[in-house]
Amino acid sequence: MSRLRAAALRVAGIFGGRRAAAADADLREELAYHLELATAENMRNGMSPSEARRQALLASGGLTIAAEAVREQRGLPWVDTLVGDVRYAVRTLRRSPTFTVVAVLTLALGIGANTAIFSVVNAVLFRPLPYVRPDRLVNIWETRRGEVATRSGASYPDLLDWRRERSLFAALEGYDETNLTVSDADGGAMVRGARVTAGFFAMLGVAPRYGRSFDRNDDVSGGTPTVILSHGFWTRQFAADPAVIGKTLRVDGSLLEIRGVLPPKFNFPPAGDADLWMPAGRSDAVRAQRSNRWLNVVGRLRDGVTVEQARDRLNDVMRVLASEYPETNDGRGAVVTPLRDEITAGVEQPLLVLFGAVGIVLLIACANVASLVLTRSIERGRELAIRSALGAARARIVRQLVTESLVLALAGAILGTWLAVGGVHLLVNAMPPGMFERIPSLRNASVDLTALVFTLVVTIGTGLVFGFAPALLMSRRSAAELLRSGSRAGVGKAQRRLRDALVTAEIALTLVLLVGATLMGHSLIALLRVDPGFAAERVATVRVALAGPVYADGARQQRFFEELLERVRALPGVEGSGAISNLPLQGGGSGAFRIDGAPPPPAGARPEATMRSVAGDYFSALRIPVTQGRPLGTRDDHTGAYAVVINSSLARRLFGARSAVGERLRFFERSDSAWTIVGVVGDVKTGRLDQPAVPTIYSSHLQLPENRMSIVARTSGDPASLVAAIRHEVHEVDPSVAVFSSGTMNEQIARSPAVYARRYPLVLLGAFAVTALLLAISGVYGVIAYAVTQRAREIAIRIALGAGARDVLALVMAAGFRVVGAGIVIGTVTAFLAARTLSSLLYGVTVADRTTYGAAALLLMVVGAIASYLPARRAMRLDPAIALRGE
Amino acid sequence: MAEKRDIQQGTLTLMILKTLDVMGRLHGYGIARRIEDTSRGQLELNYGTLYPALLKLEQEGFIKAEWGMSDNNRRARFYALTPAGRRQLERETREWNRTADLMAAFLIQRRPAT
Repeated sequence: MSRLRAAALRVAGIFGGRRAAAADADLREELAYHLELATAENMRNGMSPSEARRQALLASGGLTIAAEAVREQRGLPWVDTLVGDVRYAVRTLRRSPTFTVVAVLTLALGIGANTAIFSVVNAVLFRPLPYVRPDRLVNIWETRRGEVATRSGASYPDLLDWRRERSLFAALEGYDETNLTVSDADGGAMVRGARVTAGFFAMLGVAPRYGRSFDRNDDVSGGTPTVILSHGFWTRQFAADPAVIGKTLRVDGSLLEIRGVLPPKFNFPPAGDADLWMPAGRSDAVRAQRSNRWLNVVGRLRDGVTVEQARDRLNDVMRVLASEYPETNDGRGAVVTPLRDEITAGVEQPLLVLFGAVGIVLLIACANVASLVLTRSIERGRELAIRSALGAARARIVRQLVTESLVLALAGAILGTWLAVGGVHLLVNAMPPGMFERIPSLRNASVDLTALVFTLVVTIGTGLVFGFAPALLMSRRSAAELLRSGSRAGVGKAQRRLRDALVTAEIALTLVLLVGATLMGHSLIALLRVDPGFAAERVATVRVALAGPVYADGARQQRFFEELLERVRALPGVEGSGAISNLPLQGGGSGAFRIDGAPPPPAGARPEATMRSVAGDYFSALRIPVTQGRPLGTRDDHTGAYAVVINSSLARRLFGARSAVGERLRFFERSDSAWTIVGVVGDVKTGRLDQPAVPTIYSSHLQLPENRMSIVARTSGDPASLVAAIRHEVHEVDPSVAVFSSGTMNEQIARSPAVYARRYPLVLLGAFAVTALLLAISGVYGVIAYAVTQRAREIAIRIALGAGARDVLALVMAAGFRVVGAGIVIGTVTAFLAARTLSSLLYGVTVADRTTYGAAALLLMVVGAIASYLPARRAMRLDPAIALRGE
Repeated sequence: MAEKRDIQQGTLTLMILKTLDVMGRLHGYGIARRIEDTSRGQLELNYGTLYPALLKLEQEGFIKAEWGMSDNNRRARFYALTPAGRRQLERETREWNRTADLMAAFLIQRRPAT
């Protein structure tokens, strides 16, 4: 108890201030009085006053020492020294502001950028999925046997057959993602949703935070009219009110009872950012159809079962089914992949590239810090020698150096952490929205503590090692040695070489980043130049979804779109308009067909094409050329013969050079009717921009109605305002109809996967390259400037002996070119090797593109030249008289 | 006379406590004189030993210090024992005696006769 009290008082004693000063005065008085009394005693014993005082002082052991001893008892002495050291360190750092600022910024940049990127990458690639034992979860696809690329969902009867394999799977459930219209008094809004089989959440191990999950009773045809809300939806729409359970929500026209609310961190990326979850009820008819593959299946493997075992067994099952149901299942197989792969596929690559890039920036930052600190410690060698000569203990000097490095490191760490937090925020907000749909866990990305600690340790450690070690070495040498003016060169040689090597490394790494960024830039530009098959300029798009019992009838849907298109046609500035079931570059929607009259292909090898329904003057609105026959029009309605238009690559494949017009096709789904080809149009990229066009078959919505279509309209004016006008017209026709995913056509292209997967990393890579360039410039500048100061005497002598300005310039810049040149050579080789990792992202440019490497090398040479020139100019201006006049 | 000894802080604090117990209120010089007298001149206290020890005892709450008037009407700082200090004195005295008895038992041993 007493010790605690003492300790507390000592801690309080650190924050002395005024009280400390008063206590000091008191102590002095007390000690003085003691001395007086002792002196008086001595005088009583017969000493003279001066002798008495002297003896008393001797006996006292020294008043100053006594005062010091009491002071130490009062506070905690080591804290006092630390505070003193820190104050001194701050003063010293203030005296060389450029160094301090550059060092702190470099540290902060290295720490901040790295932590931010790593945190984001972590959120996507490494964070465990929010389910129970996620490593046991797999995706199961049906495919055409042997052709993994043709994978699709499974049919309900097939799922039931798979479920019989109880030894393989603990659970097998399915999901089907969809867009839904949620309506209230104000109108309709589009919401993403998913229909799931009853045991879906149970399989994932996720229970609703409020309310109940689905159960067997929901596993009926038509499903039960219930819905489970996502946490985000519940917060947005119901203000996080727990009393929402039991209330109803109007979805796609029907009233659903709210069964539960999911926990906050839950997401299921393959189903997109689903806000509403409903039981996967379909009609009895659909549930019996083996050919209707609407379910995406997810399963939980039993312990000990491998993915390969599951796949082999399921393929056996599929073979049995193929023999039992040849019409639907002939030639079908199954593919099993871990769920995690599905989630990270396609995003892995760009993120890993970024990861590598940021690692490079970290290295460069470390090299810069090292080089800065190294120089400084060499410069201070003399100062340290003097202090050591004046009696400072080596331990004390070392302690002060360490404190200085730590103060710098702390400043850099604080700024770096701040940058990291801001950086994560920036990165997440700058992400294209498509990425959140694919990887909802991105929303939860926050600064990763491990990453922060790691980068802190690496960068600060570098600073300490490079700042500390040379100073330590230096302080060993005798003061006399160091004070000798000529010996500076000798001391610095090893360090100088090290410094040069560091800067060479920086240049090499910068080149790698520049090459990477340029290659990516090329790819993006090449990609955006790709002809998508239609004219995207000044086109507005608005997607409309008709839902609910009112629009359950196909005729009603057709009437809606016809009326809407009439209104859109009448809008001012509209040059052409139409609609299509799915916009280009959106993918989706395919069906199998065969040529009428030709022998039917085997069930396993049926040709497939992307199917689209169009309305209005779709082809002319998008300037898609009609190469044979005519486009679809108003005559292709319920009174006319069934008509289709196909794209040229399909026409070529089926009919060669022959005219396709007049030929007939039959669709597997509707084998009762033959459809006549009335025209052929140019290829349009329906899938990804970086892949060739696929066979496409267009029909008129008047013959094949669609409840969801995208309106496209070309305008002579501003497409963005046309978008607003179209939305207004939709509202005029029917306010309860939901409008979503609208924008100009160019915006749609920019949002497409092929583009954003490249654009986002490109922007970041570019930013890194610029950062690296700045760091490299400062590195080169530092090296040359230092060389100039080191060789000041030599240069001064040369000038005195008649060297011209040009000679001095050449001398100094030669040093710079040596360093930069070495860096460029090493960098080119490294870049070539590193660029291989980019190869899958490149488009229209090869890894060994000569212009790219040449341009990057040239840029660095110019940069290096500028960075060398500035100190060289200073060297030229050296006045030999001043420089030679000692230190 | 035996050599003047250096003194450990632990024993010094016990001495200070006992001194204050016996003598009542004393200033620094008084405590030093008393201790030197009691040790019959074998102990010499320099200020750098005494005053930190006094401060420590004050921090631990065993003594309290006040400014007061000395005999010759000068301002001086006086130290006195607190109740806690008295208890600590009793504790430490017991401990010291116990240690002394224990050591005595050891030191009284003789080598066995051959």
